Amino acid sequence: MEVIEAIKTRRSIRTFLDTPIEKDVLQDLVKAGVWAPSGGNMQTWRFIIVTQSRQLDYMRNLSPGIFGQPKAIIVACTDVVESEKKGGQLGHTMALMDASMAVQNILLAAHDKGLGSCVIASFHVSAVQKLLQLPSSIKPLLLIILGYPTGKPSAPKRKIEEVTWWEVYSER
Amino acid sequence: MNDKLEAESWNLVCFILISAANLEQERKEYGPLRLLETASRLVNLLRENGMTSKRLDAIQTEIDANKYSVMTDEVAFSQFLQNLALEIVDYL
Repeated sequence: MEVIEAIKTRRSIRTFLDTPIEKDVLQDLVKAGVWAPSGGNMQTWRFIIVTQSRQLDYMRNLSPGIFGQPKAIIVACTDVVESEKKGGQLGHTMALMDASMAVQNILLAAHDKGLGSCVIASFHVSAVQKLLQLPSSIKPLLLIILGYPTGKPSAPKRKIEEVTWWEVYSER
Repeated sequence: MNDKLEAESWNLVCFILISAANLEQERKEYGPLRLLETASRLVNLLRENGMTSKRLDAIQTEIDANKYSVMTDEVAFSQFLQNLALEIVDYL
């Protein structure tokens, strides 16, 4: 799929078929993620891939933002200690931005493989850390729920003219 | 004990409690969204345990058809909530 086509045709998918996702497919998604840029090449992102049925149920219990029954969840995390060590005062902010760019890569790679995905920020961070046995230094930032989609929702409008200025900002 | 009912009830309790914990920091529209979702999941739970009714099914259908408008059209979502409240009167 052409990149711009992938960008424009990706949707947030919340209902999925009961078809499992192969592990090598999920691995390919994370490989796409780590090719994102990162501030100062910090690469402080960490990824937990959840596929087991019971663990997915537990993740749903801790994540009110998850609708439907995904077949896999990629938990995008940051190593907070590494972020501060490598990035100083800006380290945590940069790590958030880096992880977000990695997540976007994963979303597009998933779409290219025929998978549906949705980014979830509504989950209990500490509870997910406890469930996934993460040390306190590894902080989950975003969840990506994945599965083969049951349909394709329409796209919300994009307002390019209203969000763009040339050279300098001005009131309209 | 009905293990299936206990597990499904537990899932719903988790959804409600984690929502309570997170909503302090989330956008205000997510409060009504979580309540709508709780109502929809409760109807599912009742149905899977042998309890259904026309009004429960009808309300769930309305909720599931409109709940995601919170993501794209806050005005429409707000109107939907108010219309739903009025619709309830018809089922009393």
